[in-house]
Amino acid sequence: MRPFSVTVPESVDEAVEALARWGSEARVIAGGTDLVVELKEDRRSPAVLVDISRLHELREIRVEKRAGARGEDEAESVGESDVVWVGALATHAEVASSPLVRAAAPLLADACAHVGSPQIRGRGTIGGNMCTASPAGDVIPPLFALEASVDVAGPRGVRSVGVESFFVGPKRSALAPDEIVLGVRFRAHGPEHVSFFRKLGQRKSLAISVVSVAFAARRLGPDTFEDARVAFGAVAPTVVRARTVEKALDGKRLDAATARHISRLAFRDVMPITDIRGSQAYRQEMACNLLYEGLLGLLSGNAE
Amino acid sequence: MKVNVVLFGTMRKYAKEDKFQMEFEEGAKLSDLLDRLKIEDRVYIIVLVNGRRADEDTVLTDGANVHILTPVGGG
Amino acid sequence: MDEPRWVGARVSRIDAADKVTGRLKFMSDLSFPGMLWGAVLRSAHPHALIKKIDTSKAEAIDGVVAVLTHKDVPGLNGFGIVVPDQPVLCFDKVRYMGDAVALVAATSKEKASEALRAIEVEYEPLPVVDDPEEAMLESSPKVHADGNIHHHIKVERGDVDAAFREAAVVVENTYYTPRQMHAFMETESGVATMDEDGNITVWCGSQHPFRDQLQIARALGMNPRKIQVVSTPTGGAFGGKDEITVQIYLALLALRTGRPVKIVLSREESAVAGMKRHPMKIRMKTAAAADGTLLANEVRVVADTGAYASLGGPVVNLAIEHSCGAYRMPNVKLEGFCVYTNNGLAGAFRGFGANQVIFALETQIDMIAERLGMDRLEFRRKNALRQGDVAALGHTMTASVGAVATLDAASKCEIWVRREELKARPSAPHKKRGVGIATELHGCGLGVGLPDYGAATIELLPDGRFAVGVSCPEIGQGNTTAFAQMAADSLGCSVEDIVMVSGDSRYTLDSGTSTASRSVYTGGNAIRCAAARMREAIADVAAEALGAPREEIAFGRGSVEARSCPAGEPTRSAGRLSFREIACIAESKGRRLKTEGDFIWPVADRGVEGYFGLPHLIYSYITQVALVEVNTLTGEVEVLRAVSIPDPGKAINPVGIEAQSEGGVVMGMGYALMEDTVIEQGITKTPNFSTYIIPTSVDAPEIETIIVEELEPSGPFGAKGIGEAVCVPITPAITNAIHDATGIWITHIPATAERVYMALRKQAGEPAGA
Ligand SMILES: Cc1cc2nc3c(=O)[nH]c(=O)nc-3n(C[C@H](O)[C@H](O)[C@H](O)COP(=O)(O)OP(=O)(O)OC[C@H]3O[C@@H](n4cnc5c(N)ncnc54)[C@H](O)[C@@H]3O)c2cc1C
Repeated sequence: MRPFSVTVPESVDEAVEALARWGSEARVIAGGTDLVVELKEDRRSPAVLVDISRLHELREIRVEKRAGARGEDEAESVGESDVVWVGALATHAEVASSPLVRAAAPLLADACAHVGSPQIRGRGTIGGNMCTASPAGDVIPPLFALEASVDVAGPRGVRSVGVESFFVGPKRSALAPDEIVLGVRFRAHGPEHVSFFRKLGQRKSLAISVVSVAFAARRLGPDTFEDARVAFGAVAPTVVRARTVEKALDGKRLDAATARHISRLAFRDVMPITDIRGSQAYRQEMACNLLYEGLLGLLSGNAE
Repeated sequence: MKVNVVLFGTMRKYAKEDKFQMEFEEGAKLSDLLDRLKIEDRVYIIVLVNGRRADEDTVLTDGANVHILTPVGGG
Repeated sequence: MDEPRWVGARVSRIDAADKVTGRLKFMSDLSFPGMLWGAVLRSAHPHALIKKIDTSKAEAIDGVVAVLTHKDVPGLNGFGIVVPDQPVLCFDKVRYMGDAVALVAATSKEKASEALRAIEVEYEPLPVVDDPEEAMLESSPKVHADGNIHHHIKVERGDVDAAFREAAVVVENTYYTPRQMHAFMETESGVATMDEDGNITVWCGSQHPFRDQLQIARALGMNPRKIQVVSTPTGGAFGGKDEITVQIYLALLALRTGRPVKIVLSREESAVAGMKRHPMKIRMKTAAAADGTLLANEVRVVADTGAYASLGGPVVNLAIEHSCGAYRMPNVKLEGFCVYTNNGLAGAFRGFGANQVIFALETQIDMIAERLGMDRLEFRRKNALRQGDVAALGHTMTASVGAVATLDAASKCEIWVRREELKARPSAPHKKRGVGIATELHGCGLGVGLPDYGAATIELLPDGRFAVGVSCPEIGQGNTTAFAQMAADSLGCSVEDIVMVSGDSRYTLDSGTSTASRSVYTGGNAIRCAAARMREAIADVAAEALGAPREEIAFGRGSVEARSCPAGEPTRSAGRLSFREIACIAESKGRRLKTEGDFIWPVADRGVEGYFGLPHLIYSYITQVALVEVNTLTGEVEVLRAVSIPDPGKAINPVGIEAQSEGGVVMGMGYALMEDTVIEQGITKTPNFSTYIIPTSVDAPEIETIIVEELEPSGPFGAKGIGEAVCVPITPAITNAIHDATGIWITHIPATAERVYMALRKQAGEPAGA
């Protein structure tokens, strides 16, 4: 590890200024659970770390725009027309246990609950997870399925980027070196929504996803869904939407056999590689089967 | 006096038999025994006299049982 | 002797408070004034000739105090427990990525790494030898000049061919086992210091300080008496610290600089350079008669020992010894090869060759039972060894044999009795449950031809407590607590009155290794011998002080008394003296009460001609049962419950046995399902815990331990040993449970989700990707 200095901005503007001043020599640090590993392995050697942990406003989780009246309890009253904002500095533990997120986007809460270990969840942030931009980042598939947008601040002001265009390649995002992520926003789920997040790792916890899947849809009838959004992690250079599958699901009445058949269409949407955690063939199969397993859990005829 | 000597493992190469007796004058030391067997590498060996780790200065007694081996390990 | 009060009691570990509060200092925690940081330059190639080493740039760096190469090794430039074939610092060639080429000592860690980067080594790469079976061919490049087959063992008894002809069932399969990493919490680390007289002390976690002392002395060309090795406490070892790790590097650097030097291997360096379990390819052909009597076993083992021998030969010998498990096997043809490659380094690891062959054998046993339509447990019980039986290698089982007793207990455990009911209720329709069972015997001690000895010291301290010294290090297994319990009962005092001294070559006598499931048995017997002598010494002092005849002195708890007064002569202090008073009286007369005890192991009635270390006389036994759930959509295997039924002889400390049992189950589960050090073309692909997967607490099943005590008369209080067996049969118990659940046989471990899934697809006749 090379020596570095640390600057601790008190505001977003100061942070952006610091990044502009130091250019490629600087690196943002939030929880540090990804960055410190890279520093230790000399994969990055910044001269300055911009520690954004004092930007408390980026820690907030809140309902941003409300259509209806405001109830006493945000979590209970949150509805489909509401927009939820989760700050970049919210930790996985905070997101996983937030009543608001659990009500408005249970698949995101679930994904955060399955990141690493309690220690990692206590430090690691969702902004860090996104900025690392790993195809296996667990927060990302739910954000795809929620069609979230990302708020980014830079010297040119704040811009909003659709989550799919935020990720441009393995470990590569659309973030400029002098920009920081402020948070994400997405429409809340209502009672008619169903969703799940499922990850396959090499063990039950502290596992990087071999394959992950996030699913969200609106229930039309007991076994019929519309507006399905399916996103897979770790099966392509970035997290991907499975649009073939989404189309096939739309409005179709499902039973185990059709669910299986449609899930197998995921083959067309993924292009995994072979690495130390799994082969291409296995990953391909697992994309289909994780989705199938999740759909089975939603079907009325299923005892699961 | 007589001492009983047993050689183990690779130490067997130092004598024709694994088990034999040797005669010594009273007051002889372990180093005399090792000299007589022409055991030159004395760093990485273990000698037990009557079941206890001994070193070259250990004085031999009549009827002593001397086990000579190299350190080993195993499961 | 009185009823034991401490032996058999649930005593908390004497080191527990210091360990859980973090007060305890491991060797890697020690610091000394003026201490330097040492570092090791490892090879840049898995197999290459060294053309030139230039250290001048490294030496010129400010803060670098020493740079050493092979020219600076004063004694033998080699180490190795059996044959010193591993260079301390390589000179002509490197044979694996962990080979040490140079050492540096510098004023900081950073300076030390900078120095490593500045050392210039010119290599000429050689072809990499990475397949053990290819390595055995004459045409293969040689890792060592005298060929790649380091060791070959062949044992035959009876007539296997005739047995195969007559048998009702013959099963034959090839098994593959992974290169498991010890994954101890404390990596190979330590500190060396040198005093004004040139004496060196090496503080370094290991499993046998006295053998380290000799290996260091041999490399330094120094009198061993000038070298002290301290190796308690060790932050986990599991066999991975049996061989020399960093001790010689530390000693060389301290000798050269005259200053304290510390080396702490990073996890990655440890993973690449450190010891592993031998991957084995096992061909096994096993036969049984129609009535379920086992008839014959033919076994061929090829073990990948990596670049150097270490204990590879003995590991393969023990694989051969254990390849017929806890069964009568009248006809055997067993052959093992230990082969050099450029794949890292393999050596001692808890189980010592048994894990691999027991996985193979116990799978064969289930296959035969299935073919015969016999109950798996009954089939095992029918063939299990009993006391007095002749074992596979031809020796008689004269010591205590708990095979049947552990199987009996298994037949009554809940997950076995209710197995059909448990299987009928998986947590989802696409999940399947199964119950598996496996059993083994495990040799304790070093076996025939390797005299196994131990010694202990006991000293009465001025405050009336006893200092008890046994050199077998505390490597986390809890042996010092067991020693204290046995000492307390042997002396008649409380465990709190025992001060354990362990793992120090200066302050203890050599009692051998903390390996081979041997330390409690050996240390305990030596303690009993020293304690008997201590009681005599105390009785002498008491008799004199009390003016009573020696025979009248009786021991109470923490004190002695004269049973009756000689007629007309009143005794002093009302006839009773505490140990503390004894210590005072002895001291006033200028006497120190200190005794020594020793012990030599009994051995089997028959050896195996031409080989050492096998067979054993004393074995521990264990049966383990597992309940698993297999997700047929993903291949994931969850171990829901495990029952572990060890026969350790007397359980000196049941809490300690349970801890061993639980740790062993999790270790054997990792071996069954996830652990493997992947090496491709000599390069380790899994150098840290992100890629080398071990189970976490969340993966651990609910574990029940049922202790079956088949007392061993030669053991202290009837104890044998259990440190290794606990991690062995659980592996095939799990893979057999996978079969019970799904019908697929696992012959290649770890049974990762991917392997299980692909096997399920194959079974269904739909290969993946279709
Ligand atoms: C043991 C372990 C287990 C793990 N398990 C998982 C797992 O199961 N699933 C998973 O998805 N990940 C896992 N991770 C990875 C990591 O913990 C997560 O990705 C985490 O969310 C990263 O957040 P952080 O705050 O720690 O990021 P940091 O390390 O602080 O930063 C990561 C990167 O993002 C940049 N960055 C951070 N915040 C911002 C911001 N607001 N604006 C601009 N740039 C920013 C940094 O410059 C850096 O490049 C694991 C890591 C470890 C060490």
